[in-house]
Amino acid sequence: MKNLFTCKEKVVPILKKNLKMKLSVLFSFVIICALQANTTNAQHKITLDVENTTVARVIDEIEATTEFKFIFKTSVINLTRKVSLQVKNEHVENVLLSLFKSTNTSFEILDSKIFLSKAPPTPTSTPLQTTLKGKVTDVDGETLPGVTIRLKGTSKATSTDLDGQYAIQLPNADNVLIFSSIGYQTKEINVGQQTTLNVVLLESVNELEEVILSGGYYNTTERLKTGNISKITAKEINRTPVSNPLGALQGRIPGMVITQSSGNPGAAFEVEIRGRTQIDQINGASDEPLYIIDNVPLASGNEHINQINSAISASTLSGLSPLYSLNLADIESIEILKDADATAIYGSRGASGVVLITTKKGKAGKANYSISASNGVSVAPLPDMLTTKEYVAMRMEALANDGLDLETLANSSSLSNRNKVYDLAQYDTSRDENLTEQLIGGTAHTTDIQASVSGGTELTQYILSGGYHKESTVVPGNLPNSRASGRFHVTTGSKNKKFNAAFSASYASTLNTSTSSDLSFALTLAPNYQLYDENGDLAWNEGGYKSNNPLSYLLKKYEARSNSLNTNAVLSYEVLPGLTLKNSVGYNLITTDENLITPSTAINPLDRTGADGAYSFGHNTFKSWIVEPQLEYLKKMGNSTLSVLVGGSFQSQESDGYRLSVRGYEDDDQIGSLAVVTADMLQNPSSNFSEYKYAAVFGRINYNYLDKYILNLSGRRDGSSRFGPNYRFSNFGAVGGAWIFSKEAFMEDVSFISFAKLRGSYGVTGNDKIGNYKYQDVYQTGFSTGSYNSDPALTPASLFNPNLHWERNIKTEFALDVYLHHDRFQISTAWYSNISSDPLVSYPLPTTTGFSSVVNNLEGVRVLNKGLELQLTSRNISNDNLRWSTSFNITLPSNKLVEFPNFDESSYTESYAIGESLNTIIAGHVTGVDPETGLYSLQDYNDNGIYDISIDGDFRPQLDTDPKYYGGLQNSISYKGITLDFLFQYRKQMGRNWIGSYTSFTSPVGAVGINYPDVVLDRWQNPGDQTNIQQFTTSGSFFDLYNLNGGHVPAYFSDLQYTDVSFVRLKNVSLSYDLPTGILQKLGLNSMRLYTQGHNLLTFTPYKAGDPETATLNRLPPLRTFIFGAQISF
Amino acid sequence: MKLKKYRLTSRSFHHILFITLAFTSLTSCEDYVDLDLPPHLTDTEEVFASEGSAEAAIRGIFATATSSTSTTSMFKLVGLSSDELAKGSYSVEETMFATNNIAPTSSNINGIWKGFYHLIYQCNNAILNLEEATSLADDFKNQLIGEAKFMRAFCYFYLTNLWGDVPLNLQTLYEESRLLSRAPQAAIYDQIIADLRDAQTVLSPTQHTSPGERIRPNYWAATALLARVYLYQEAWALAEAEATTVLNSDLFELEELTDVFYDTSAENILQFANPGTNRYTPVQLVGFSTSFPTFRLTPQFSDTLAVADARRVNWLAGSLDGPYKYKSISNFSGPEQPEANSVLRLGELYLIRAEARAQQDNLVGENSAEEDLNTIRARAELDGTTALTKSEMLTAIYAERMRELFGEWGHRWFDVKRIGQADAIFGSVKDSWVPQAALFPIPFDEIKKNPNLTQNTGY
Repeated sequence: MKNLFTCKEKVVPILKKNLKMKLSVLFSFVIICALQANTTNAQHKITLDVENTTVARVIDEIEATTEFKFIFKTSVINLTRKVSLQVKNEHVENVLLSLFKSTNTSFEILDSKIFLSKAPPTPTSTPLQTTLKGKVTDVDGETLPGVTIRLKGTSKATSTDLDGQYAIQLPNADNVLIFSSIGYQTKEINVGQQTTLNVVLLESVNELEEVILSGGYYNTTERLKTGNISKITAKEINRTPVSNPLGALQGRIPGMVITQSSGNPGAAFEVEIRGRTQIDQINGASDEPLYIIDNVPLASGNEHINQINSAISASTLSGLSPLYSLNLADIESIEILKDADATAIYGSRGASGVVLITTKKGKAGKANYSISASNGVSVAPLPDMLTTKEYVAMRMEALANDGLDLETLANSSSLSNRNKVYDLAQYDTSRDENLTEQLIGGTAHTTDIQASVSGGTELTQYILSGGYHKESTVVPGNLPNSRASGRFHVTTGSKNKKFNAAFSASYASTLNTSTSSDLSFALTLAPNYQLYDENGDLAWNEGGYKSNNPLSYLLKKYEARSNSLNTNAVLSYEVLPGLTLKNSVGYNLITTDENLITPSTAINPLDRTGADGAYSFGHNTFKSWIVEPQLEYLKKMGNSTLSVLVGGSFQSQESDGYRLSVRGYEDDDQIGSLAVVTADMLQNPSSNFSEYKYAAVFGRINYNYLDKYILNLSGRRDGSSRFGPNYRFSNFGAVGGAWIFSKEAFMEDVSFISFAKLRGSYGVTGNDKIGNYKYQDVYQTGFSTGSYNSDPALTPASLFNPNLHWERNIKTEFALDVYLHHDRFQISTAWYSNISSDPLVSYPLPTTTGFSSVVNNLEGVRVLNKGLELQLTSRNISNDNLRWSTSFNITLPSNKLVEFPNFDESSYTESYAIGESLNTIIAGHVTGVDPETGLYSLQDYNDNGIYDISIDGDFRPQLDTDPKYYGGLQNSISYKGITLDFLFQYRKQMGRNWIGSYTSFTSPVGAVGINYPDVVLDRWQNPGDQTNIQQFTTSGSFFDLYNLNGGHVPAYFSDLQYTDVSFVRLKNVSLSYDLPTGILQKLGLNSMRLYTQGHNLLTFTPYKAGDPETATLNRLPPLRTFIFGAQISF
Repeated sequence: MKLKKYRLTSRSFHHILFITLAFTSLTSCEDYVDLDLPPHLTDTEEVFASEGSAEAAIRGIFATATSSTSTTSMFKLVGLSSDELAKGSYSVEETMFATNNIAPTSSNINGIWKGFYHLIYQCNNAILNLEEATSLADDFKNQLIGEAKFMRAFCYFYLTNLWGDVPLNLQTLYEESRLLSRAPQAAIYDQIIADLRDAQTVLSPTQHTSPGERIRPNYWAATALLARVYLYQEAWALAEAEATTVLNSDLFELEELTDVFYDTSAENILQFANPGTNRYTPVQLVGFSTSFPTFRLTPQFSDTLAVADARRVNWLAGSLDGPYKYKSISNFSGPEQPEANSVLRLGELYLIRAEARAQQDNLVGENSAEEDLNTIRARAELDGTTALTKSEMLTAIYAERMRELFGEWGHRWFDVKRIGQADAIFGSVKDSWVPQAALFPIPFDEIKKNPNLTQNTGY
């Protein structure tokens, strides 16, 4: 880009040459604006009706009614010339062409500035010799309309039509043509003698000017934004072989921590934007962001949509993700709104950030068909567990350490003694069939097929797409997970562009199947566990010891079928120039039907009664309606632009479901049938219904002066049904500003800085995600207490609190964006500070009150999240053949409980400490393994000789599980048609280790029947050994609980359960090859791409026992995936 | 320029039109976010505004009681704490009770405490709302208040006998009840007696009296519980008087041993209906889930049931030595007749009166301790007692209580403690017995959340 900010006299001569190119650029810009539904394209059009008026007056008139500003030397322009012009909604360049027709005045349009100058002398005309024709496409084969093609060194230019076709007459051979278009790298091509030239334009690395960011209710650009909006595009999403869009964001967005809950297809991702605010992690107001898909809030948010437990719902915080039903290929972009300026317009729902998902829209032009298919495999990274040999040695050592004798125990008359050694006496100790391999060592297969057609005219564009995705999992057996989806989007407008309409609908049907429980839990079984008997059937109770074969979970099949529909219609009408009336209506529906079948064969034969077949089923419906009337007003006033938005939101959300279990089928074939069910077979029927309504008015005022000073005010008045009449409504708002100081005169000489902006925002948002009806004093009816002797019964639902109100989040942000060397290096930094106060919690109460908690605002409690986010992008090499760019992001967060009035009297003294992070672990401290006894010793903070498991005793804040820093490093290298992308994700963090998830209070390492990762081999063996793992022992006695040298039992309540779970992971690799134009032409294709992608390929971590992200062996870790695919378009 | 003026007018018109439209729709915000309650929730005030729902709220107390950890734990866990049951499984929790070394962090200790206080909240909520209710007839209202007061007394009886001094909560405001300190046992007993006396005045002597319908407390249940309370208080004359009132009512009679726990048993003064519609007895009362007993009688305890004692055949599970008074469980074949959890039954009342009479030196002869004791012995096909002196008689009565009431509501634990024999009896059969074990530890979680709550000594 040219330096735009030098004074007029200097600019004009340079600009003269590029006139037509610039015009084309502008034209393209207008087209893009028009394609972007609802952008205010009116300002580029001019309506004039003048008779015999001076040029000066006309210029004034244009400046008054549009955003354009004329810049010229009065000495070179004839301002007194009289003209007559009647134009209506005409493109500015056409108006200017008419205005300066047959004069020596030429013009140049840049952004909203029109430079006038004396026309250069007309070049001496050369005889025209050839006509060159061709087509311009992007790397995906999509045709590019509006690309400017200019003959180098002349003003001769043309542009491509809606189908990307162009034709230009060239004077002689050896011409150099320059192809340029907004958002794409300009390409110079020596034409030679050819008459047809098809060109592929690469996307521009510098996206500063062109990238349009959605703020939800309005659009802005990277250059003009006042708030913190991060964007990732379809390109990046499609490089990632994941089935949940959140998986594609991992490592890419500063300030956003995304954690995959398990490697089971369909399992949820947990998301946290700018730190934890939730004081009460189970029942408190959720700090998940607000999810909006094409203007419609996702009815279920990111909360799980299942009711029945299965392998997919691995932990209390996870379950079947509603986002699994989103077809990744349909996503155009995902924007993350983080600071007050960006989120305040979402009021009470914006406290934890907003995730805006926008789907693809059609592009004008001839119908473009695109088909892609990929196929791949996934495996689970397997933890290294003890082999049978090592396990048996461990057990024998444990027995010896405890002074126990295997023979004596095995032959004891006491069952309890015999059961202490069943794994050695009753199990075959020579068996080692590698349990890990057998349970989760399989290979999952992935297939993905996508097809779409898009096209349209300048007025109406459409896209129709369909996709099918199928994946299996790594456990034995056939457990398909699939998604079939269809979608269309159409935008249309009246010829005068005053009326615009957009309608989209997408429908997806997904199937998830899994075992009833994550088989990973069984990795801890003794490695000589018998899975199959001699006949190859499921083995049970080897040697008479009762135990349920984990493979029986394969017989208990879980199935969830979800359907989701998302529709949105936006109508807008430009009532007057600059004033647009708009209404957006949306509907989101997600239904889930689940069933779990337990045949009698899955029941331990010792427990079978002859009628064991069981069936659980449930249905859940989430609905969300939203109507949002809006009014937009845009006014240019001299050097400034004012845009105003006011609107209202009416949202209603409903969830309705039931579940039922039936037990006692005598015939496995009948399971699932309700025809044979008798009343006494019904178990635990339950139903739930809840409703949420929300109404608001919101507004935004944006004032832009000279594109240099920008002020943005936004606010919302919100009402939520979740609060009582006194606290139902509340106001939220923010102020944001930006100063593009690179435009200031003093920066003129600092030529290596191409763009610099200071930006700041301050405001208040809220959080009402506490659940419905919580402020009301109510009785309920439920299954277990819903009747007494068959007569209806009512019980109090909970303690109630009529004074519930919003959680408030006060956000401050300062940011500096500096782009260097013609935007080659881009540095964006943001410092943020979010104070959340009055958190909504399920406040723990002594049960003498009747309940163990009450939903409450913790008045005056303040949690501070602050941090620094840094993003660097560098275009290392950029030429026609080779491009290499690197981008890096890092976030340094911190979390602190700042204030907690009357903390000592609260119920949180054992969980938190003032001045520490919310993720602080308050526990005892293991000082090490006593080299003499071989047992863990604990720190006696209060010097009383015993281990007191309380904060008043020997518990102290030991560590916190906040990430210390995290981010990603991405490289993108392309050479001719070959593109290689790879992303490293990293995180520095403490987390729970295998001790926390594998041992229990009284089952230390060495206990009967539990296997461990091979890190335990590093244990203490002989006096004098220096190690950090205590001696093997078969049991812990709770009498040792208060013993400072008591080993495992007291140590169980210490920081021993935590370890470093940091990692650097090669998250993503994508290698693709685009066939060259010549071959494509022979094949009659627009483009063809072959690609391979990998996910979670390598992990570097100090964590020795499994995957550091899930940090537990009990859950299937994120899978390692490779896929191969091809995409063609024609 | 004229044209422009016209345009401006048009603009203003559009402006006004739009703004009016937008804001008319927004003024309805207030109503828009006002929601009706979903079908499973009812506003508390409405609950106590009509007879049907007010009664459903009272039934809710009993529905909760039937499935509460508190009530079901009285059988197994309190039995393990005393000398009557031995563990048949290896759970840490059960070991703690059986060895009388209960960690304050025990989930069951927490569950029992929490369950009783939750029931008390329900009672308090019902009592307070009923007292305020204006649209219910006084008689009806008082009857319901009486039932709630009965249940409140019932819960405090168990709380104070398990823990000694406990917080006395008679209201529903958590801001006040969350910092309650422990009230002396005497104050708890005063409240129990006051509640039961109130209940006696308002509860009907004719309702819920037919066998099979005795699933809600009436005058007789309040009186029977009062007899037990007086017995524990060593108010012998009062205990005898209350017991006599019940025994003379002619409504109740001793059943055949096999039929005592049927839901139609005429011996019962109060039963808890079985949860749900399945009419099965909770596992905790049966002692068997499927094929293995999870607990059984201690050898010394089963030895006390002589071979001649008909209760050995009828109330034990043969060779397994499990207490087997209840036999009907959902997935276990049992008798045809459904059972219900017996809360108060005539057998106990005879023994209360026998003890009260013996303590008042009414030992043998007509209307004596001996007569009441022999009524119970006779049903068990045992000969009359040979006890003659007061101490012999009391010893015989204690032994009979043990044989008659084992496996029911923790009677054994409470009896041994109240006669001051815990150290002697439990100490002789349990290695790990310490005197402080007679009171359970206050749950760790509770002390953590309520700084005014002190722990029992020894924990």
